[in-house]
Parts: sequence; structure tokens; C-alpha cells
Amino acid sequence: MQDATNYESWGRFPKVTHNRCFFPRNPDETSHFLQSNNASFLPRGAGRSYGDVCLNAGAYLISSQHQNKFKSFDNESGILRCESGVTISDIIQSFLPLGWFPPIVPGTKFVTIGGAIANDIHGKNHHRYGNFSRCVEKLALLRSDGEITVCDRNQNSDVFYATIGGLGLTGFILWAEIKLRKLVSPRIVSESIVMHNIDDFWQISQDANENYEYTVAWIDTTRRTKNMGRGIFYRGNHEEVKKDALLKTSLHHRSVSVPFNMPEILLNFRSIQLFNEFFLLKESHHESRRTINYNSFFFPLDSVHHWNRMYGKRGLIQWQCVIPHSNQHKALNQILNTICNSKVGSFLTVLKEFGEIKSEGLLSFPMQGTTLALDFPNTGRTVQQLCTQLHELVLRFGGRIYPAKDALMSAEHFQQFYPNFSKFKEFIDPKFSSSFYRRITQL
Amino acid sequence: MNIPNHLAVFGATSEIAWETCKHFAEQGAHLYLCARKEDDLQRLADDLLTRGARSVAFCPFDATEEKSIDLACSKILNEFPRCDGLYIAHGFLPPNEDNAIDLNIYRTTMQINYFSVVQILEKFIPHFIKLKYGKIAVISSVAGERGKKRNAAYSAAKAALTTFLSGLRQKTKNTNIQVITLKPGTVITPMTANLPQNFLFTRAEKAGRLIYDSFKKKNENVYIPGFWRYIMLITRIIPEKIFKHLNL
Repeated sequence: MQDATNYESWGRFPKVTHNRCFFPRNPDETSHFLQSNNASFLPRGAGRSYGDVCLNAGAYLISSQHQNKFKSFDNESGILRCESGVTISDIIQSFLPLGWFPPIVPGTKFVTIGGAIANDIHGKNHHRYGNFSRCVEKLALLRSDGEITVCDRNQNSDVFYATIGGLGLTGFILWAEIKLRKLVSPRIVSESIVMHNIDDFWQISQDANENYEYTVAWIDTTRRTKNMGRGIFYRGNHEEVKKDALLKTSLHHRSVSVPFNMPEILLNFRSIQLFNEFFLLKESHHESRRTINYNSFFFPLDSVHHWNRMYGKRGLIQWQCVIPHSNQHKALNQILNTICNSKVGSFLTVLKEFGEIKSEGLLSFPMQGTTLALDFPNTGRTVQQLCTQLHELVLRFGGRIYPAKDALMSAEHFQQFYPNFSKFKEFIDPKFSSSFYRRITQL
Repeated sequence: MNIPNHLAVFGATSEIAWETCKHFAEQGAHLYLCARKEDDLQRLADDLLTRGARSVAFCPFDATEEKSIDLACSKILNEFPRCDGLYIAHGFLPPNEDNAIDLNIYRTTMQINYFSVVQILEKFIPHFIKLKYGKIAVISSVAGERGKKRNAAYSAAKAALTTFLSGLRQKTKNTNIQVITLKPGTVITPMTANLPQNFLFTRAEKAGRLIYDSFKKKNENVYIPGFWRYIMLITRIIPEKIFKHLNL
């Protein structure tokens, strides 16, 4: 999001044009823009969601980019009040040296707090801490009529529960209070274990969730039968040894940038198979137990700016589902089989078990069970057909799809996945809309 | 010379100034902020206090009005007597010019980018002389090194500023006052939001860090980032005969 004129989603699909993007510099300007224009608005954070929840075709975007100031920090409780354009990276830069860290972080630190709340994101420690909203104590919401509602779990709680996971449709989040946690070291003690198939995953995961705060698995989706679901399981805990000096010096890490779109000819089933083979080989040659910097553990892809360009100019299709605990074994087998048979390869496939902490938002995605995230190069019809097939499967097993990563789910499917949607509709700001919203309401 | 611990900032709510002030805040400095809008100053003060500033005070000022500048300066010098650093970051980039000359725009541009700075410095120099110490950093621009048709007014005002600062440097050579001329190239800020961006653009965050670093160094003529020194070197030696044909 360095380029102010670039209003794509991170997946770069679908491609749409906007009427205009506003960059208000303070709450007054934001309120002024909302009141003096009539077409629909969508708040925009860092543009890091994959599908169309951060797009508003033909209408207005209203960026939180310049509303990125801290408001206050309580050194006792660890509660930080900040504007919605502040990123996870900003928080880490300023508070890690003091020994504080966001308790829940996604796979990239370049997301804004507003975006993290609106998509109620999750991290590798979902089984311990739940969704991002669990560390949100309070927030202030600006509606298009200029009214500001401060809400939390007691005061205006209905607005609060609609806004977390509310996909930016309930208003513009002005600021929020985030409860940070104490850390003594910026490093993670990480272990990687080779899995030969999906059965290994179930076993390792169950065991790991008890003893490790962070768990996630990378799997190879190009193999079937007895190799199906082979991959690497990562688990880790924060290092408990006090490392004060490291807290201050571990912020910077080297990064490179993908300068142009990769030619699409390089993105086929064979190359993906090869990539997966190589990745497995590389990872299984590591020492299995390592103490590594938080950046390499949480945000490995952040060291490659614009990595989405690797998927060519047509972009990538991200797809993430969750399957409830009771059906997960059967469902995962069928889903992985379907993917493999389709010959649409996924570069990075991630598997993780969610814990039992309930989601609070009306439209929050996580539920107890297993989540699978895939990214396919956008090869057109074949991927879209595959996704439709997968949606049917997910529906049959009582799961749901993650809006932040979706560009293809039908209105019918969405409303079955999210039965609370009818309740949610009451809280939508009349002047707010998004490409996603219009898609999932077109019955 | 040490880095200032009591810094007065004009144009504090600009993106670059904020990015610079963050570093001062993290070092636990005392800050006095001036900018046009009081609400924004309050937000900025909260932010810098959260980041570790020892104290943050502010007062609104309008660079187009002599009285307002006077008022702000005397307020700071009264309430912030230990002020040992001055950072002037406000500026005005008029919209792209066409062939006609709008005298009013030229006057405003000159007032904000040049006269207001002279006025502020006129107030602060005696203070620093009395204090026997002071660091002054002023944001000028690479644009001040050669006039271009699209922003002749801006270039002229920044040229005046740069030249004035080099004169001031001679005037204060026997005192312990350091005058730093900061010459940023193109930086991504709300001021340049309407310009087409290219690879020469720098993020405000980086510009802020480089400016903070220049407070620590002896160099008094700083390009932000450094590679602009060479771009401008080349730009300056192109003969006017050729330069006038260039579409820059």
C-alpha cells in the first residue's frame, strides 16, 4: 500500500475501478466527506484482504491511512488506544522495545487495526486466545450522519458485536483500545515436524495445541492417496528467557521486493508441484528446534514486498474455510481430494485447528474446528469451478468461508454460512457498501 | 553538539514533521508544537506523549498572518525557555501553474515558505544567542535549486529560503548555533498526493528518520534522501539554453 493510487485488493482479483479514494487527515475531515457525498462509502485500511471486502466498485473508498496516531497507553494494564489506521507493525515498532506485543497477530504485520477488527482476524494462537476481537476493549464508530458511538462489551454492545467482523459496513472506526501483552524476549522457540500425511496432522495437532501457544501446518495439496496432506507442522512458544537488549534491537529485518508481475506461464500444476517438493525438502533439512526472531516466525512473507505479484497480473484467488470439529476428518479428506483431482495447484496451503473460544462478532469467521487456507493462481474458469465445488462441500459439512479471503462465494451460500446476517443488516450504515456486500446480497 | 532536548516545531502536523518528532519522542524529548489546526495538534500531542515524549505543549498558528506568527513565537519563548532546537517544517505547494501568473498565489507562496520562516528565525536567533547554543533545521526543497514552469512560485520561494539560510549561517558563524538546510526530494505526503508518483518518491517515514539523523550530524546542507545531491548536481550544471527546452 505504499502507492496511494493503487486500490486493488491483495489478491488483485476482482479488478474494479473506484470513483475516488478519500484520504481524510482527521476525524473532522472524515465526517465531512461522509456527509457531503451521496454515493456509497467503504472504509479502507491497508488493502491487505484478498477478495473484494476492501473494494467498492464505482463508488468511494475512505482511507484510514492518515489517521494513524496513538492516543494513549496505560503502562499498568497494557491498554493502547489508537486510531484505526495504525498498523500492527507500528504497534510492534513502538511497544516491543518496552516489552509489549499484540496478543493476536495475523500472517502479515502490515494490516491496520481497523481492518483487523472489521475482519475479526485470527492468528496461529487461536486455540489459546481466540479472534483478534478478544484483545479489543473498546472502539469508537463514526456513522455517516456524523454521530460517534463509543462501544464495548457493556455499553452499546450490540453495535460493538456488529462492528467486530462487520467488514467495515457499520461505519468508520475512529479509534480502538487494544490490550497488549507482556513479553520478555522477541524470539520464538519454534519446532518443525515432518508430516507424511493428513493422519499425522491430526495426531500432532491435538498434542501440540495443549503444549504450544502457536501451531500451524503447511501442506502439499498436489499429492493424493497415502501422501495426501504431507507437509510440515510448526509449533512454537515465546522464549521465556529475559532478553531486554534484544527487545530493542530486533525490530529491523531485511526485505526484498518483487519488482514486476511474474509471467503466468510459470504458474502451472507442474511448477507448483515442484515448488512444494522444494519447500518440503528445504524445511525438512532444517534443525527441527530453532529459536528465531518473531518476524521470521509470524511474518515470513513480509520480507518479500509485493509478493502477490508472483501470481502474475491476473492475481490470486485465496480461499479459506473452517469445518466444525465433529466433521473435520471426513470433510478434509474430501476437500483435499477434490483439490488434487482438479489439478489446480495451491502454492501455500495452511491447515490449523481452531480452539473452542467462541467468536463474538455477528459475522466473525472462526468456529471450533479446522481451518484450511489455499492460494491458487487465478487461472480463470477452472479455479472458479473448483471453488464452487468446494463451497458445496463446506456447506454440506456445516462449515463456512472467510469473507476476508473470498471473491467468489454466492449470496445463497453466504447467507447459509452466516445465519446472523439478517440480524447484522440492522447495523449497516445506510451510506456504506462494498463490492463484497453487493455480491452477497444479490439473491 | 548534542541532539536538542527541547524542540520547538512549526508545521508540526505535516507528515514529515510527525515522522521526525516520533524519534524525538522516543528519546524522551520535550516538544512544543505549532500548526494551523488545534484539533490536529491535540491528536499529535497525544500520539507523541504515548511514544515517550517527556512533555508536549502546543499552540495554533497561521503562517499567512504576521500577528499569529508573532504570538506563537513569544508564547513558545515564554513557556519553553530551555528550547535548544527549532524545526521549521511548514510549507505550501500551490497547484500546478499554467502560463499565466497569479500574483496572489505568488504572494501567499512567498509568505508561507519564506517570510514566515524569516519572521520566526528573527524571534528565535536572539534566544539561541542568549542560550549560547541552538540547532535550527528548516525544510527547504530541491525545487529551490532550479526553476521549473510547473512550480515557478514554489521554486522561487524555496530558492529565497535556501539563500537566506546560507546568509544566516554566515551571520551566526561565531555563535554556537547550527543552521541546517534540509532539501527533501519528492516525498509521499498529502501535499504531493496529486502528483504522479515515480521511483524517486521517498516514504515520509524514511524522510523523517533521515531528518532526525541530520540533527545529530555536522552537515548543514542535507539532501533527503542523499541521492538527490547528485540529481541536483546534474540539474544545476545543465546550461540554461538547454534547460529551458526540457519538459521536467
